[in-house]
Amino acid sequence: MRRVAVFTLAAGLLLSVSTPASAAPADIANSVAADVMSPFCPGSTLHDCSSAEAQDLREEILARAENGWSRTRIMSWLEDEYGPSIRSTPATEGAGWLAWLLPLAVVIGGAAVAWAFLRRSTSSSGVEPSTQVTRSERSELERELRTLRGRP
Amino acid sequence: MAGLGHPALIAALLFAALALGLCLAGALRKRSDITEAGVRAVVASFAFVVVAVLSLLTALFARDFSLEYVANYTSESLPAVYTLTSLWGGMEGSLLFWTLLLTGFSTAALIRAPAQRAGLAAWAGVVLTGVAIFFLALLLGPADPFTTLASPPPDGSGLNPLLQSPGMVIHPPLLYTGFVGFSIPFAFAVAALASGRLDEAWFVSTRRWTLFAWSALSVGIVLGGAWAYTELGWGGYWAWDPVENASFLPWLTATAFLHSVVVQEKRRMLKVWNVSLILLTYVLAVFGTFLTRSGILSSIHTFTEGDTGKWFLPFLAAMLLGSFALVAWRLDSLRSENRLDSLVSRESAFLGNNLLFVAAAFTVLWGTIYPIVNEALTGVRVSVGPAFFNSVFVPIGLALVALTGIGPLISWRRMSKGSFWRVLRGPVSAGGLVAIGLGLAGIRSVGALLAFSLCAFTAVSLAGEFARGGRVYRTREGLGWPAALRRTLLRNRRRYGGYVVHVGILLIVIGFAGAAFRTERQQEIRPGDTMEVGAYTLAYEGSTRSETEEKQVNAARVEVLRDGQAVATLRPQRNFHFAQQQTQSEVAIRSTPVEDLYVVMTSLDADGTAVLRAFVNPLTWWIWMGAAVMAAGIAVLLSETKGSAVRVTAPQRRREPAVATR
Repeated sequence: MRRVAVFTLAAGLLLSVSTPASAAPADIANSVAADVMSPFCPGSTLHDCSSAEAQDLREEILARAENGWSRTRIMSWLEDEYGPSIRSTPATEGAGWLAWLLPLAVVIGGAAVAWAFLRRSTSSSGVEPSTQVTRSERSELERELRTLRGRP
Repeated sequence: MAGLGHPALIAALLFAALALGLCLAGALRKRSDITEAGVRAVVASFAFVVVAVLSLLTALFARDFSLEYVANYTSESLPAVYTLTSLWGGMEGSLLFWTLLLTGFSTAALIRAPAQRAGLAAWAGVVLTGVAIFFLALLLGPADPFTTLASPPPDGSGLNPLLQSPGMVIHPPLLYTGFVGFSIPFAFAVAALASGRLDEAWFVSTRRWTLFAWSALSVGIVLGGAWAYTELGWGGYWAWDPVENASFLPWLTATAFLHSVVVQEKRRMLKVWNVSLILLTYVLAVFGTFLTRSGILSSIHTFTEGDTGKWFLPFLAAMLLGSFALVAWRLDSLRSENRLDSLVSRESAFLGNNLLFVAAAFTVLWGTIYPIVNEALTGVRVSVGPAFFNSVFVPIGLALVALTGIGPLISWRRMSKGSFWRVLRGPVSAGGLVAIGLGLAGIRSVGALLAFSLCAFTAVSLAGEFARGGRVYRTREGLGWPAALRRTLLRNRRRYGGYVVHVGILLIVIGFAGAAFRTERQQEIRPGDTMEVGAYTLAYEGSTRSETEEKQVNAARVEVLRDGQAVATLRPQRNFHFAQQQTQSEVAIRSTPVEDLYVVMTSLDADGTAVLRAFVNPLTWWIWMGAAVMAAGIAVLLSETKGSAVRVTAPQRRREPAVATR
C-alpha cells in the first residue's frame, strides 16, 4: 500500500514537471486556451469552444503571443478582462488549496484506513506462508486433481 | 393516440402505488401470494408506461405540434431516425424514457425471482415501485410531456443539430440503461438490509444486472466520447464537463464494486463496503440525472435542463440517508466472516484497487461540485476545468493500470515476498524495456513514458495468465495454442472475460497517452493557400454550397499532402440549419492507427476565405479499438451461463491452514 501511495505521488510529481515549456507562439496560445474557460461556451475551455467569439479571442491570444507576451502575462491579461473565474483551475492560494488538497487527503486518509484495516484484520502478519502441506490437505488436493482429470 | 398519454401515466402511477402497498404487505407478512399480486401490479404499471411512450412517439412522428414537447423538439424537416431520438432529446421525454426502462427492468427482475418473493424480491419491489412513483409523479407534474399548446405553431423548433448524429441514437439510451440498470442491485441491496438476509443472495441474484448496467454505461460513455470527437469540433473526446463527469461517477464506483464483490464471493469479506458501493452507485446515477436537469452547473451537454432539478434533491437525500441508515442498523450483521491472512495477497490488491477507484470518484465529484462549494463559502464563482482533473486523476489512473497488472500475479490469502518478486520479474522487465526504448527513441513526456511502460507491464502480466491457462489445456487435452486459449477463455468466462476487458482498457490508455504528442494549428486561409500541421500540408482548394430540406451545406475541399505526396482529400463542412437558425461545423477526419488528422472549418466568408483548425492526434485510433476489445470482453462476461458461473464458496473456518494457492 505504501508503494502504491509513493508511486501515485511520484507519478503526479513527474507529470506535473513534465509539461513541456512551449516556445512557439502557437503552442503558447494553444496552451493558454486549454487552461482558461471560455466566456462564450458554458463549462468549456476556450480551446474547446467553437463559437465565433471564442475563435476571435484565440486569435487575439495568438497575436499577443507573437508579439512576445509570455504565458503568464497573457493569463494575467485574461484574468483582468474576464475575472478570476476564467482560470480553469482553482488558485493555489487561500481557499483554493482546499480544491487541490482534499482529493490528496482522501487518498492518504483512505490508505491509512485501509492500512489500519489490514493491520487489524491480518491474522498472521509478517509470517511467511508455510511450505508444509498437511496429510489431509495433500489427500484433498489429490482427490480434486483426480476429479479434474476425470478419474474416480 | 396522444390523448392516451396522460391517462396512461395516471394509471401507471396508481398501479405503482398498488404494487408498493402489496409488496410491502407481502414483505411484512412474509406472504408470497401477496407479493405475487404486487409483481402483477408492477407489470400493469409497466404496460401503461409503454402506452404513454407509444402515445408520445405517435405524436412525435405525426408532428402533432399541439403538444409543447413535439413543437420544441421536432420539425417538419427532421429525419425519421432523429424523430425517434427526440423522445429522449428533451427533459420531459428523457424522464419518460427513464421511467419506461425502470418499470421494464423492475418487471424483468421481479418476475424472474419467484423463489425469493417472500423475502428479498418483496422488499426490492417496495424500493423499485417507490422510485417509479417519484418519476411518474414528476411526469404528471413539473415534467409533463403531454402539455398542450393553446395555439400550435405551423412548424416545430427542431432537434438541436448537435444531437442529430448517429451516435446520439444509441448513446443516451445506453447511458440511461446503465443508470436505471443499477436500480435493480440497489433495490436488492436495500431489500437485503431491510429483510436481514445479508448473505450473498442479494448480489448473486443481481450479478447479471450489475454487469449489464455497467456494460451499458461503459459502452455509452465511450460512444459519448466518440460523439464529442466527431461532432463538437475541438479535437478531443473528453473535456471533464459536469455532465460527462455525472456519467463517469457511477461507472467508477460500480467498477470498484465489480472488483470488490469478488473478495466477498471468495473470502466473505468486505460486506459493508460492497453494499455501500452499490448504494452509492445508484445515488450517484440519480445525482447525475439531477445535475443534467438542474442547471446548477454550466455544461455544453445540458440539453435537458429545466426546473425539475429541485425535485431531485429531497429524493436524493431520502435515498442517501435511508439506505445508509439501514447499513448502520445492520452493521453488526455485516461483519467479515474471514480475516486477511497477509498484506501480500490478492485481497490486498483488490482493496488497493477499491481505494483508488473511490479516490478517483471523489476527485471527480469534488472537482465537479467545487465551484458551488467555493461560491457558497467565499461568494466567488470559480471554474474547475480539465487541467485540474488531469493533474489529480492521471496519477490515480496510472496506479490503477499498475494494479491491473499486479492483481492477477498474486495469490489469494497469502504469498511469500520471494514468490511475489519472482512473478513480477517478467512484467517489470517488459515495462522497463519499453520505457528505456521509448526514452532512447526521443520521447520525453514522463507521463506518456509511464503510461506506455505500465501498459507493457500489465499486458505481459495478462498474457502470462492466458499462457498459463492455455498450457493446462495443451498438456491435459493435447490442444493447439489457439484451441487451448479459446478453451481457457470459455471455461472461465468471468475471469478471462475480465482480462479481455483489461486489455481493452490498456489500449484505451495508450490512446489517451497519445494526447501528450498532440499538435494543432489554426489559420485563416484563402482558396489556393496552404497551411502546415505536424508533418502534413493542407492545401485549401475552395468550397462548394448545396442545400437540403433542413440545412445549407458549405463544404471545403482540402487536399492533404505528406512529404509532397497527396494522401487524402478531406471535406470539413460549415452548415446552416434552417429550423434552428444555427450554424454548425462538421468535422473531417483521416484516421490511422498511428495518428488522426482532424480538420474543422470554424468560419467561412462569402469570398471563400475560411478559418481552419487542424489537429494531429497521435494514437487516438487505439481508443476506439480498445473500446471494441472491451466490448468483446463484456460480451464474454455477459455470455456466462448459470452453470459456468463461479459459485459462492461455502462458509469457511475463521482460520485455515496456510496454503499458497493462485
